[in-house]
Amino acid sequence: MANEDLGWEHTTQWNLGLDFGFFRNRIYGTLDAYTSKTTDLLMVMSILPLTGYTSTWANVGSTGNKGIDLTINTINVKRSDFTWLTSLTLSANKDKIIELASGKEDDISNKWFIGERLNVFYDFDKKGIWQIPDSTEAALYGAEPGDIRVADLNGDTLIDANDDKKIRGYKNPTLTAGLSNTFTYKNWELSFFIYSRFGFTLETGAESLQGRYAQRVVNYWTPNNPTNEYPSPDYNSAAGDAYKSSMNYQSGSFIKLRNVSIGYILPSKVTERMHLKSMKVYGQLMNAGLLYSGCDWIDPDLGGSTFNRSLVFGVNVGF
Amino acid sequence: MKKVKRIINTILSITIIVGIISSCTKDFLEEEQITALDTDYYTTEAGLDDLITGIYQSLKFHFNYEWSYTTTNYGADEFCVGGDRTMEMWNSYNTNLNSLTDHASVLWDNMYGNINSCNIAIQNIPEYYVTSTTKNTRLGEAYFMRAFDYFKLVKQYGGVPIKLYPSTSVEFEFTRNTAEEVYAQVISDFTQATILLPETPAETGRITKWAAQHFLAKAYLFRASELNNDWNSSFVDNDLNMAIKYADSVINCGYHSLAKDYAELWNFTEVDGPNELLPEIILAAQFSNNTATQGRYGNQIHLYYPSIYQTLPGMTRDISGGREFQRMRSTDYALDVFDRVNDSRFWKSYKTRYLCNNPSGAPVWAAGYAPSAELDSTPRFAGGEDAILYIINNAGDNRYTTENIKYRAPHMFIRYFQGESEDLKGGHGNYEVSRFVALSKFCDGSRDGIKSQFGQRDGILARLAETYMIAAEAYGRLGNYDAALPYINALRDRAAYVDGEDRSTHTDGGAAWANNPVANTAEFVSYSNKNTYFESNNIGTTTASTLSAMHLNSTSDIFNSTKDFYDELGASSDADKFMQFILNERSRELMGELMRWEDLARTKTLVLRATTFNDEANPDANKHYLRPIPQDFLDLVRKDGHVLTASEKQAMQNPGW
Repeated sequence: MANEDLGWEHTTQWNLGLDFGFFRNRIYGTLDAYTSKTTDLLMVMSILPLTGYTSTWANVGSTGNKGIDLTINTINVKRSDFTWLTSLTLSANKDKIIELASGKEDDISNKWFIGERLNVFYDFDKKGIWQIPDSTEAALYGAEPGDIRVADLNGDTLIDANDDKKIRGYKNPTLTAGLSNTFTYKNWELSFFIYSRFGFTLETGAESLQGRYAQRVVNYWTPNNPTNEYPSPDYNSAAGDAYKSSMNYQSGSFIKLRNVSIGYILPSKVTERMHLKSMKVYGQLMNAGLLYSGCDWIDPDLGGSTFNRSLVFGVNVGF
Repeated sequence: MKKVKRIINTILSITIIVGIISSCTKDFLEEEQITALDTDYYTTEAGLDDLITGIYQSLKFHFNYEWSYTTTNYGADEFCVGGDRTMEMWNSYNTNLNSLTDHASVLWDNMYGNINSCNIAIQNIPEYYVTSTTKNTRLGEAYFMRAFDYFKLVKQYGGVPIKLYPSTSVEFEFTRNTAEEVYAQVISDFTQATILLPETPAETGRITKWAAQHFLAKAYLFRASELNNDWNSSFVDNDLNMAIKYADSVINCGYHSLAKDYAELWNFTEVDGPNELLPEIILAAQFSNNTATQGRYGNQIHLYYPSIYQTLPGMTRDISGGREFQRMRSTDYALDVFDRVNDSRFWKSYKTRYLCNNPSGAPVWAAGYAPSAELDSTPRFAGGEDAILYIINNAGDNRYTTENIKYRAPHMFIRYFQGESEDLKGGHGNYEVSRFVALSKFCDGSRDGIKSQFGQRDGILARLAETYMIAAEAYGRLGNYDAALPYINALRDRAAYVDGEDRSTHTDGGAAWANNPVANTAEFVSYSNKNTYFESNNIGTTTASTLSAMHLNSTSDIFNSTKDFYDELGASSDADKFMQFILNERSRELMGELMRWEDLARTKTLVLRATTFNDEANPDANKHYLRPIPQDFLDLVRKDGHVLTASEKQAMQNPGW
């Protein structure tokens, strides 16, 4: 809906930058530290459909953001026929909601919580699977062995959305890092690039175990397999377990070898004979693979379970 | 040359100065938006006309998608879950039905969205609408629609926030009104509408005085029902009399009358064809083949009722048979509530016979079962011949066994085999979750493709038969059973077979295939214009009238009925028997017409009937007579500037949710 109270968003930001170089610039880089405060943050927010509309642009509150960006380049080895260069970039960032338009109160429907980050996951908290020895207790919750057991946060023997949900993770990483290394030896060049993100959550993992649609192979509960991982399959429940979304939050942290490339520059004797100025032959492995991942059925870098890995060969010619 | 240059330079510098000056004023920041309309449009007559046209879309909402039946047909007594269990939580009432369940908020959000439009209209029409001939009509349409939507909300959720003015800024402070207050508002708005609306519509589908009176009568009846017994005692007598008064007014208005033959209502032969113009129809959401107005959905309810035929050998899916979403499987109650020999409504509501439309896939005779040995391994039926028969017989019928049906050419689906005893929750015969006697009232053979979900049939929201039921029930509730009889008989007399009628004839909307250029060139279609009446009932051919069997000669025909489940439902007093009879008669007349849950909830018969007749429904009497208030509402609403605490939300939620 048109919001006649809409105003400008304001941001004040402090930046401290430092460029440095040591050992005759064998080590050099930049360091940026920043802190900012945004007031009257402009965002689309959910509103009550009683107004006739379900969302509007609004000045929703104030947020703080602070972080550090660091870049370090090092020349590790520098000989006439061999060099090794390393470059490391690090970004650490944390945003938080200081206040909302409604005051120091959480806005659950928009999933904005005072003191928390702006983009969070908010859901029931999975404790495990109801087991046969606990069936009496399970029955109090209307559950049976094999159903997902979620935490009864306020202990009222009733699982409801009013008081049994909590923040299950953050959508954005707290730390992003990239590391590249380049080696040159005579006419050969080898480089690789490692990329990583830490401190965020992926929304994946819920399975309905209902038997109609394709799904991952999972370790599901049966009376003979009292696992706490996945609930028992249930054809009758088309939507799956009522709390299946509580299975949805996985660590997204990963370290990935994104790129490896090797190249060979043809000696000028050879290129001259071919009447060329220069020529480089190279091979590149793109999206090489994960060195570490917090979630084993998805590529947290790309956010999907299917992805391309490519091997590229090429020739660079200068005339 | 030099001079020319100087002149050019001068011009340039002047231009630059002018440019700077103009950018110092604020004019350039102002833009006149000419491509989009805003709410100022609703302060013009054309805008208000369009606004009212727009709110008619919300009538279509009730047929647009799966919420059509989940909130009305599931979880009651007429249907249980078929082969597709996508929405089973609405039938079983399990933990997947909760304040976060999709359709609970979809219904809420859509009703309030439309109520806001009505509020704009009601606020602006008196001030800005000029043309006197249509001014009252537009205002009446807005009052009707607001009442209609609040009525829907109170039927589903109980008391809800009443908001009667349009919002101009973001508002958060709301609280629930009581059901009593909502009913007062509904009745007040419907009453306004009855005063303002015309007797004859300017265009087909427009709301009339009679539609307003019908729903006003219905609202009075609902308020006087058992669900409201905590607070309605001071209203009941007056409400029932008002229900009778307004129902009578519609019945006697001269504009509406019952269709002569019940089958006419469902005999859909083409888009906007004769069955959609019957004087029995009081209000229908207008769907058509106009793709500009069909929106995201069209009328999709044709999808939800059919059982699967396409996977049987010799069959393939076609336009006349429809797409089988198989959401709603008829319960045994739905079949047994009819006197299937004398009540033609059963055979005019259900599909029992299909023809072979894929002869190359037809099954062959197994050795020893063919009519003669030389026919072994030859196709059991050819294109256009009977391929599927549903036999609706009773326990004790010894004609069929799993063995002897192998001698029959069509695929035979038998309700009770030899020796099986009666069970109202299935477990007999060879019906399955995907193979059941399918309600065929809503079939749509006009669609522009086999896969098309865009149904083009109107969605009936009120027809005169229900008005009769409202009056009959109101009289019965007042203890005046004799006065109720003529109303019930009006429907039962029509339902009787007339003298000379061919009882083996079947009609449903799949027949529109014949006028549909996408389908009418097919060599074979699954649609059959015959039913299994005579074989199912195991009687010889007759064309005698069944009027005397259908007509109630006195109230003792109601109280002494042995076919109305009085024992199963524990009905012993006349009042109890009458109410159960009325609910049964509503099933017979209005089977599947998207209102059952609301009738059972308001009469507080939901738990009893659902647990007695529905194999999976397990409603809780302390919880399930009302839907959950959507969690989004509880999370967003504020009180004195603050969002609600968990316990305040719990207090605002309906009990048990």
